[in-house]
Amino acid sequence: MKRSRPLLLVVPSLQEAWEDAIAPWFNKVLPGAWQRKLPALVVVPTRGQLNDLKARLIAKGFSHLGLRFVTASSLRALLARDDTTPAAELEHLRLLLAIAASELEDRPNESEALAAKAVARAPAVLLRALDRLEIAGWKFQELGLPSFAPVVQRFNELLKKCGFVLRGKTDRSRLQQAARGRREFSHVLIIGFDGAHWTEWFLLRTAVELAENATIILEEPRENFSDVDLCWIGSWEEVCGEAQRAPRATAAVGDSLFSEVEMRGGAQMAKRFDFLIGTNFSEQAEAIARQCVRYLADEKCTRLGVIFPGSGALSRLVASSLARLEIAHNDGLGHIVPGIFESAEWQAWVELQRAPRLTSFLRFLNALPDPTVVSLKISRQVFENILHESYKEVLLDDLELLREFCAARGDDKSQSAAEALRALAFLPPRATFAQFLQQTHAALAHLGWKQQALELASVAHDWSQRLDAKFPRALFLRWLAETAVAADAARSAEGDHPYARVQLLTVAGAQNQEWSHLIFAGWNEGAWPPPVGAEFARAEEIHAFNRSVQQLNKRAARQGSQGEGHTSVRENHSLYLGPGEQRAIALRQFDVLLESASEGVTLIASLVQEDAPERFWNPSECFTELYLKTRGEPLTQMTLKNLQCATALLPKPPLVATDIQQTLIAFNARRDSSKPAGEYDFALRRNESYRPVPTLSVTDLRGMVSSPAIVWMKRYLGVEAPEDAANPWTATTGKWVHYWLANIIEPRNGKIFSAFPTLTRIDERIRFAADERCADLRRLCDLTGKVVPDWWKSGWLNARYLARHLGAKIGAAQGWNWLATELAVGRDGAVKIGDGVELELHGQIDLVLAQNDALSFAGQKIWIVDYKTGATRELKTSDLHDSLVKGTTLQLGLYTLAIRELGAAEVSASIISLVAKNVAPQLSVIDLAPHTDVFANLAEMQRTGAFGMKGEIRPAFGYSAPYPLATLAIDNDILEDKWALTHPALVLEKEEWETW
Amino acid sequence: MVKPRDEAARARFATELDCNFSVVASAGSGKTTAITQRVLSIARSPNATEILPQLVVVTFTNRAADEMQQRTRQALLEEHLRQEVQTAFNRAFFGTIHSFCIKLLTDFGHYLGLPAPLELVEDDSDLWQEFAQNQTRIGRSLADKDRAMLLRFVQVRDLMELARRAASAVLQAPGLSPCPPLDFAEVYSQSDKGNENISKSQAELREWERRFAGDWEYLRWPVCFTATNARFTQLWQEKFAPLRQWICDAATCVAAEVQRDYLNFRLDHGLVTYGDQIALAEELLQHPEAARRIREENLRVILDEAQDTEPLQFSVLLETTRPPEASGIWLQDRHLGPRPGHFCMVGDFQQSIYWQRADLNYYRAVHEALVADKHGESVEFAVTFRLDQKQLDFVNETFREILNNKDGQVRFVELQPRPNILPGKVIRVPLVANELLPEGKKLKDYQKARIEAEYLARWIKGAGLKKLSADSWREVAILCPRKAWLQTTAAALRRVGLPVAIQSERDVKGDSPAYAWVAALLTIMTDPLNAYEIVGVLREIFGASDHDLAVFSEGQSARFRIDEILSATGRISSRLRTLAEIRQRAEGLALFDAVTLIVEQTRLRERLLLLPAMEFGDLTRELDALLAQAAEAEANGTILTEFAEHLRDDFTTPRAVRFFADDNAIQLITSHKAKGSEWQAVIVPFLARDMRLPSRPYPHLVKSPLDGELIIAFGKEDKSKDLKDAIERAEQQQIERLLYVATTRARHTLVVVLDQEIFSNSEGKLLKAAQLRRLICDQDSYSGEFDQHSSTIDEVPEPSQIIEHASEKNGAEIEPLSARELKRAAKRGSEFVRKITPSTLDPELPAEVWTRSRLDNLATLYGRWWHKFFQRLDWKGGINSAQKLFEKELPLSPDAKAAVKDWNATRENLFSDASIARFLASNETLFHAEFPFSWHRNERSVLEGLIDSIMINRIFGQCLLLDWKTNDVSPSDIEIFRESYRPQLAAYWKAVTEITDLEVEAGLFSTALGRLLLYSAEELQMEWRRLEQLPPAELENEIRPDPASGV
Repeated sequence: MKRSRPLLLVVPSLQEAWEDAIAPWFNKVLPGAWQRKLPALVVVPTRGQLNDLKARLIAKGFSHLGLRFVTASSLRALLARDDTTPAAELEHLRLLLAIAASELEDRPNESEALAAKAVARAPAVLLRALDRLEIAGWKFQELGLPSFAPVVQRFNELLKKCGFVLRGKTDRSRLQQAARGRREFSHVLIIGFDGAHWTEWFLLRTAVELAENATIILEEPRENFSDVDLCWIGSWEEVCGEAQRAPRATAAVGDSLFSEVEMRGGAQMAKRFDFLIGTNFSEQAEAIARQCVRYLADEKCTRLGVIFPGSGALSRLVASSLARLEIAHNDGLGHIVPGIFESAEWQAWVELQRAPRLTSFLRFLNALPDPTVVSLKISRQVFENILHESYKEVLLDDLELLREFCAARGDDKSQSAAEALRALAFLPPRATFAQFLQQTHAALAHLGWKQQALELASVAHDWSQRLDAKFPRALFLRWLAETAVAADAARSAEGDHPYARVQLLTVAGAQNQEWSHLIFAGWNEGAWPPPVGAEFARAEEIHAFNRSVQQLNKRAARQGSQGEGHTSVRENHSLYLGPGEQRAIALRQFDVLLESASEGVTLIASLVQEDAPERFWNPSECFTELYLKTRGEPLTQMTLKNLQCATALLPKPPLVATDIQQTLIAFNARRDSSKPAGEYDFALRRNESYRPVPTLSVTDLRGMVSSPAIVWMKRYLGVEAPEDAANPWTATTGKWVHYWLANIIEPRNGKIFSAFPTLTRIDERIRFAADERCADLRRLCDLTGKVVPDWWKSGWLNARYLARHLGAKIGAAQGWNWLATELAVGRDGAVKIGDGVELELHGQIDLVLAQNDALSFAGQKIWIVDYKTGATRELKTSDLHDSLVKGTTLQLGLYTLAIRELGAAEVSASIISLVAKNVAPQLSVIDLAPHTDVFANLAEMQRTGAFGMKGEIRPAFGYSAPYPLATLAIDNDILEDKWALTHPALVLEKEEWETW
Repeated sequence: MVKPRDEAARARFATELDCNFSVVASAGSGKTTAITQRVLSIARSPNATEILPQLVVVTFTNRAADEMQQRTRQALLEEHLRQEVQTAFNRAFFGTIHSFCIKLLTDFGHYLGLPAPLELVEDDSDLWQEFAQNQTRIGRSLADKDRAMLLRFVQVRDLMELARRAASAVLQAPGLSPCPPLDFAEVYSQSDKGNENISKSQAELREWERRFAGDWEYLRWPVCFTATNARFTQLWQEKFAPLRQWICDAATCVAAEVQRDYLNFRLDHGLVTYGDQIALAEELLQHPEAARRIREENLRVILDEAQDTEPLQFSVLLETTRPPEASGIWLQDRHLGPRPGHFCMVGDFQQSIYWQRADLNYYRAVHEALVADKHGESVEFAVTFRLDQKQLDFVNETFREILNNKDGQVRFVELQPRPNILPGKVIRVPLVANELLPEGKKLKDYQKARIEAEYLARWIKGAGLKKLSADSWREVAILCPRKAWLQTTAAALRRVGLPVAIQSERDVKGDSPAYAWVAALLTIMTDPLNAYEIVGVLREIFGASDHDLAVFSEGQSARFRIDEILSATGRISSRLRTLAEIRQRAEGLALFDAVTLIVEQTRLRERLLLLPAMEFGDLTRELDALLAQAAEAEANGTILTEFAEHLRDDFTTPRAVRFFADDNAIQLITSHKAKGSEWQAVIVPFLARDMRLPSRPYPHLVKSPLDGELIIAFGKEDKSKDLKDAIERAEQQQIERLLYVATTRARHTLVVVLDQEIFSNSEGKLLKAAQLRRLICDQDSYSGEFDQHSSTIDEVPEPSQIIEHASEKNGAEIEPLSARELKRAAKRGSEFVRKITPSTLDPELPAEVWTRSRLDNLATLYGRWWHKFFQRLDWKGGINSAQKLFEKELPLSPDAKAAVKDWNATRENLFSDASIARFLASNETLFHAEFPFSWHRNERSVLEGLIDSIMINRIFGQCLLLDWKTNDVSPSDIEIFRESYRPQLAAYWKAVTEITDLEVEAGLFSTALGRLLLYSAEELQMEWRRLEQLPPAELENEIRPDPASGV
């Protein structure tokens, strides 16, 4: 059928135009829609407006078959259905742009290199700009940003290569084709579009071209509306001919929300305004739900809109509150439910590919619902332990390196770990797109992730081969993360009613409808008008461009209402909406919406921001202005507080706390400073039969005085906090130094002591052991093509220095001809502390010196040495109590007592460190006698299992092992009192700060 | 009305819009009002619409910026200026310097190669670890020889850490001279004179020199065993000083290099720290093209709290306001300074309390440069609108000598009274040791503090609001210099029943039970084998005793698991079972639903309510905030695992104090945080308590108060005596200014607690780091210095009336809801036409309620592929055309093998099936795919959907509708298959029949069977009769098949 001339109608408002313009169109088109060869189409800007239109038809009792309602985006999809080349998804375009930029990052021109770097790092902003410029018909070169020109040029080349075009170009060429091609729709109605929709200009015109009969209904702009809106009408007139104008109804809409009479207080305002302030989103949501109920209960409530600036927490909470109150509604914003790509395992896999390191691998392993896909031979826990141990040895977290380290170890489990790591597929650092895809599929196949593979297979199969440039893995992974999205929108059953009386919508979604009541939710500063993103063009450039593409509307027969005649855009162009224009449009949308409510309007905002709850969050400019206009008084912070108090009057259902009192019982027991540690304070219940006596290492015993709770959990529950993998150097340095120093002697079978080596020999042996360590790592690095990092070598040299220095000090000891290193203590049973006091412990003494080559300790004069790699000073008897109670000397004290138990005649002890001045005994067993109660208290702890808690859980200074997350802090004063009651001998004599 | 004495200065600042001002504004002198007045003047000016959008009002905190914006907006509205002016004002920038810098970086960052948007990183531990691990070569900025020398003394990791710790401060690499030679002859020549420490030190040095000359690749500094102040030690340090200085310089070069590398690493990840925001903005303003573009924006800056502004921040603001053609740094070359009226700052030297960050000297320099510039002026506001007469006198008397403008200390500005000033009062509270301390017992510091706190609590209770001249407890504040001290006071106040609100971020987020418990629960739900955290949940949230946990586990951590539901009856095992069940139910849910479920099922809200509200505040509100956070995170596409991880990552970040408008509690706050606030009564306790903090471990960075430079120190020897003295002096002077801040917060009553008897040492002297010492000009003991300007509580007369404070009218808008209203609302809310749809993949219809994505099923993918195929099928093109289409589409099929098999079956009958063929044979037949329909069923419901394929022949008066089914169905299951889709087809059939009045046939075309399975009209009629009896929800359930089962 031949195309008839499109009909352009300009109406005062769409609501008023229903009877005269809109309903007649449906009356004409609907009855025969299914009988026509071609379908009919109604195009509206948003889903909200679409539902409203349909609801109106339903209300009139209309049924129909073959009439399609579409929004602009679904119209685009509909028109693209038969395209031979599918439209390029934005993520593909971002990838191409990033590739183009990454190729140019090393350009000699610094500005160009920096521009390329910016785009490679984040291509979205430039792509958005290019897309919008393309739609407007504005050349990027005209922006005067020459540094970006090479990137844009290369991007265009890649686009061509892949057969992609930008959306604007597609729209424009589709319009040209449509003008020449066959008709696809019998009737098309375009309604509700205005100056906010310049980006859809060519698309909408295409729909007109494809229709046998097209009708476009536009709204008459208000007096104070921008040129953007005026030009919109003018441009349609240029296409369709002079618009038919409906006369403005008697209640004409002015540029003010209030009539002059109303402003002077001479008349009752038609609608009621309420202003509410919730402390935060949660309180706001409750107040909105309550206001919805109040409005709904009003007979005059025909249609209630809850309007949000956008989707987010507030809309979700409001929908949830309404659902809880069983109020049926249309949740026009919905919420996200995760799909296969929004899973922990997928995200962990992507992260593992980005950085194949220990932490990312462990995260991946833990995220897998079934870890056997990685290894059938070893459990997750074993795998984790092996890798942790390996890391502590090599101190490099590179997965390849750790794999080779495991492979070099003899045990089966390490071998299995290496095997499993080898079987995992990793993406190369650089590759072509096809290679990356291929490797991804291999990786997914290995993991048995078929669905993911299927989803990915369809997105790039037809263009992957055309992109032959190699590019970095990071760009591919970013593309993958953007592409692999399976999340879906959802809403509750109560919120799934598109024609419900209560509608939750965005500002755009609520336009052009009739509302009896409106609630503007979340109306804080920055919410509406929404903040605009970065813009390459400056305001004046945008203004100049828009002026340049406008011409006098030749079709408009009569002078425009603004007095200068209408303008229209020149062919092949559209207006560019910069930040200023977007802001003006947003304010206009708000004003129009406000006017569309006939009975009541509520504006509601938060008093504080969720992420900065200590500060006031200003209401938006619209809120403040409206408050002053309607209330006649300023909106001060005091007023806001008062409004919040009034809003918070919502009665909440009382919570019943019956069978959960145990929480409080435990809480109170832990804070009762008048009682010693009991069953809730890391202690076994008194007078109970369950009383295991764990064997404690000397390290545990040291922990018992500094962080007893941590040791208690380890020994009685078997649980420990994960190790701090970020900084293993201190522990590793200590371990290396001790290990190398243990090697200074030649062991003698069956004998305790070896002969004291010469100073030279000591140094040689230390160096040999240390150099072995370094050589091992070098071999490992060579094997994997890596370099030993400077920081590793430097840390190793430090450890080597410490060992040699301490070795030299030991070598200088006089009068001790025999020595033993790493001497085990306590393996055979308890160590006697005093009469009737024994401790079950085990440990290793760093160094034991003797004067004779004895077979036992009996009758010997023994000197025990503890190496310290930090700046620990020599032992002093004057500080002994506090240093024992702090744990610094405890270890030596226990060893001294243990050796005495073995029959030694004289036992002395020393700390040897960098700062220790004297290499000689610093303390004797006799010095410990006054402090027996300290050891007795420790023995008591072990016997009774009553440890207690000490120290803040997160001290401001110094390190403390982390407690479980749920652990609530207890005031240090209470802990100190409780500790003193539980372990009176383990209390420090001096103030902590006296020792700083 | 009487005007304040400094009215002329205020008027100048407000109205002289072409002048750049540096306003020095004393405590309570009305800075915000002054700035508001200036903005108002701009708004009244003829070119207001042009200038206002260029306005940049920058303050130190968001809170202050917000207040300033709201007050100004309000003032503008009240003036009823033109709408365009209001609109223009709304485009003005109000915010912190950081947010201003972000704005610059977002708009112009591409000149520096920066991505947009940049994400803020606060905890960079993971990022740092990754960066550090990837660094192989450090020190490329040094010559090989120098590098080797540096690395002989300094560990690379230390250098890297120093770079990280430098944070926002830019390390300036010094020019490196050659490494100095060593000469210790003089050290060796010292005789020990019986002091073995000298000879031991000499031996140590000798050995060190041997190693230095030998093959020791790495060396620690030798230890000098003599006393710190001994001559030998000084000589030793003197001889080592050149080398140590050289090492520090070389280290600074390398640290600066690492700092830059780490910044680039962050930027590659699109991340910036707070410091980066400033540093990059400053860099932007040194970029010729970017700077010109920024300056062309013609921004006009008003800076508040100038004394807290860092040098780099000053630089950004100053450089922004210079003319477009300017270059270099104005403060250095003084050429082309800020344009007239484009830069104003308001500050107070006396309130400079962040010397480590902000630089007082730099502020002075900016002030002087601005004033010296031809467009610049300085004005002083000395009239205070806050303090009453007594406090004013106290402050003037006390600080006149302390803020003495000597040795770097600031000049005191005598406070001037406002017109009609009230008398006010200063109360001293002396603590008597004999009465309070137990005899003969040495108490620890915390015990003494507890005694003071308890005494003070009783004192406050006894004094009451009246004597404090406050009308609510919210108007009483207690200020301490240390966050840690607030707790003791809070506990004491609670014990006497006084309400307390701690307003300083001593706590981290994890200190809130709501946060900690939610974080812990989500952690174990996403990591069900995490025994350590499970233990935490059991003992804290469920209140399990440690004894029971021990008996249950017998030391085996593996027993604490919730990955599977095990039968259980014991105290602990039943809890684990509950948790395992909750976890199972939460799987696959949307984030917010999952978190809500976990909170509800563990009865977390009720448990939180059990905890003492006095101590923790409104925990349910905090829980609500976390739920809101979950909802926000869900909207951003975050999943449960990520959300749990995010909570853990943020666990130790400072916890912002929640604002509760309904809190009527004594405000406990640090003196630092109190700046910018005021209360009717302010109490300053612990004046004689020692303020010492543990010294920071070496190596560390230290900022020199002498020149503001950042210095690396590997040991205390690296700090010269001058530097140490300067630091000590700067710290003391800062405490003095902090005390000025603390004592100028009270509107009516200032209370100073004189606790020297409690905290002084055994000789009765004030401790070195006691605040009181600073207040009395470094004297050893207090001897009644404050008596003249203060009184004891007994001397305070009983006030005749409480000062009335204007309280604006309560803005209550709505009353609570009644059950009747709720019922009526629910009823009216349910009065609408329900949409019922039999279609599963209707793109035009709202998404349905899914618990999992509908894409996660191979069958669904396969079904979608076939539907797309049939949608493109050209019926009139015949089987050849269909075959071609199939071959074209096949590569896109998720299961090519099945597609070929099904196509082979389908192609047999597709065009030859009798029913279809009948329609194909007629030229009048209309073929439609995905055909929409809407049938107005009755007043309560409408049937809507899309029909896969429809053939209409008006000549025949017939219509055939097909629904494509791609299920893998076998011939033996045909009947079950037909039956299962009968309701759906009946709905289509009924709708089309009613709309068209044609004779409608309907059937399924199964691709697996390759057959059209028609339903008879009777069958469909009967089915519809059954269906229409059902309520809408049930009807929809019946007619809409499971999306995954057979599209």
